[in-house]
Amino acid sequence: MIESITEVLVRIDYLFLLATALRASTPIVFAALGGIFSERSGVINIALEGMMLTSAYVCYKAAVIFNSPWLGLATGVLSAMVLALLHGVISIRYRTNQVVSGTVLNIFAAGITGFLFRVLGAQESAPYLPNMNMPLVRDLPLLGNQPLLTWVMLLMIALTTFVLFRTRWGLRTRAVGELPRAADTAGVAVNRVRYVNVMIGGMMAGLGGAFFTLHTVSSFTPLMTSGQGFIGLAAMIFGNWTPLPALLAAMLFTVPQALAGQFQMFGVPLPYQLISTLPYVLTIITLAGVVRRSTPPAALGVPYVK
Amino acid sequence: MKTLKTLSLLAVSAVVLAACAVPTPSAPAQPQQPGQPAPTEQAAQPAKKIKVGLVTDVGSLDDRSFNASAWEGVQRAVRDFGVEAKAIESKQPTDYIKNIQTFVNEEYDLIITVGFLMGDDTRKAAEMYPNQKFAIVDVGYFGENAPKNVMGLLFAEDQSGFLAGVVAGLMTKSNVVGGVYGLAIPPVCRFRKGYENGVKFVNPNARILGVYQGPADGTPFNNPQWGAARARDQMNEGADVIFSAGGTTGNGGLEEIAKAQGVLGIGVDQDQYYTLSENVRKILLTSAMKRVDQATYLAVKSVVDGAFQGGNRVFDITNDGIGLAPFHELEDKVPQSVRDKLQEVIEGLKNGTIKTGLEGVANPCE
Repeated sequence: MIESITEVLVRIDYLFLLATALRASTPIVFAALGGIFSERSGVINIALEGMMLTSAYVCYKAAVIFNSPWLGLATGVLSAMVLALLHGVISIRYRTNQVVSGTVLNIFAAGITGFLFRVLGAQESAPYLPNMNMPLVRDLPLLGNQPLLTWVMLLMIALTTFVLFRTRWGLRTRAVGELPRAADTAGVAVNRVRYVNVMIGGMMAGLGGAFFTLHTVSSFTPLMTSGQGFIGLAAMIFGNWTPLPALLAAMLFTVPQALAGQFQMFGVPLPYQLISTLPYVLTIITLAGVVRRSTPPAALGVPYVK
Repeated sequence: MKTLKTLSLLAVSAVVLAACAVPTPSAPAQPQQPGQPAPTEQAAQPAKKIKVGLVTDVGSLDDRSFNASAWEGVQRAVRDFGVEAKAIESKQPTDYIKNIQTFVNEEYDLIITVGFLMGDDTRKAAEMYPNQKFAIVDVGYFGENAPKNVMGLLFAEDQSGFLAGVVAGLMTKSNVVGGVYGLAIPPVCRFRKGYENGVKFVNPNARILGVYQGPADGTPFNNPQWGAARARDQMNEGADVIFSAGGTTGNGGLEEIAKAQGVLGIGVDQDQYYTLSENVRKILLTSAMKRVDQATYLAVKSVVDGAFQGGNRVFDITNDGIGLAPFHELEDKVPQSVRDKLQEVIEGLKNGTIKTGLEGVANPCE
């Protein structure tokens, strides 16, 4: 099965590869969007991984119990929002260090989902959310037959961009994240805006978590989010806290990963261990060479005291 | 201060939840399963209860694959011999030695470590505590310096994979077969190469695809999403039988196969029909089993009988240490000709007339 690299490069189905990468980007981008909402308003959120994991579990269990992926999705997203609220209370009301709060929530999420999994098991298959495979849509290049949540992710990118940069709410959010005192003086309820944005962030993470158990596999395994929430945070930073660039940053990671899979499958004569580091190598190169310095919101991580 | 309380409460509850997650099974609770030897009355009940500690590899006790199987054997020993058993899960490789030490300190009679990746730390611990009995799954120590207090439990994964390959090679209609594998460590490589040689043995013209999970592809043996994506890659290339051998990474592959039409999956390590979700059961052709449960059970038994000895023990087709799981729901889909051929290969492997091609291979990953 050993073939030359050029031979393999000719054989690869690139449209399929891009579709694979787009699909794999879904939870990463949801995490990034969650981070954007939260951090644009000034609250660091490294608990996205834990929120995704919690949502993945709750989506699974609720979908099984209600025998409906939709109710599963709703319940799962709600569970992530509850965690987000907790993060909000800890970091906005009690002004605890936001990184510490996030870390604790991540550990908590891993513990509670692992515990519930063990006690309640995960033998039953959850019903899946549909893929976009209706006539006409099915045959679209790149987007045809993709998971519903991949479409929702693209929609959310557009929506987030619009809300953040074209609405009054977005302006307030950014003001609160950059110069909360000025926003306060202008009559904006700083902490209320922060709460809402942290909760929206939780909703995004919840949608990302749903991808694991309502699209990828029909059951739950402990720690199945496998660090994608953190990759999402990285995508948020590479994307300079803006939605569309965050998607591109996620693709920067998932395209090489998909390519590495194809390389190995076709038997490119390179050590596969080396190939699997491709996403990271490319990320570093791009970071160092292409991306300008990223600028976080000025008031990021600083609790607001009147 | 209030915040600190909330935080510590969260942290404590997480730790408590994680800790009470592994129940210590008490003596004979579950009914005897058919096909297992009845417990011998006279052998059990020694004066002081024998304590068995099991340290998992990274990945949980309910990976529904490898660690689960090892623990099942220990639990069977608990039921049959009335020993006491406890398991500690390793969250990361740096936990191995720590967890072993915990059992040493609590004077456990036998410490079972699970998995190839624990080989170095187990050897270190064995050298440090020469009077402590160890058993390790998937690792053998060779040469003069091999520790004398470790029982290495090895498996002929190549034979198990070979049998799976025979079935795959005969059942494929597209003449393309695939494989989604965990990290390239010797047991996984033996599964893969045995499988591929089995396919070639019955179907030399079949196209064989396969991918190992790379060290940078998410959590080793626990990235179902990666496994699912790679199974899709292979189905896109026309594969219609796919062997998934890589913990929950592989299970992700099986779940993805279950979404497609007309593609069959093959599980690994234990009969995954009993461990995976309903969706997967419908497409699970068989599983390439290694009886890790049998191995850990016998290791405990040797301590109970006072017959424990260091050194390597190989579990293969001749002592039922490996084998193929039943076809279950796909029983009707497997023609008699395939069963006949499979039986022929089983006999051939048993009496040595058929070779997997990995006999005596020291490093199957090369």
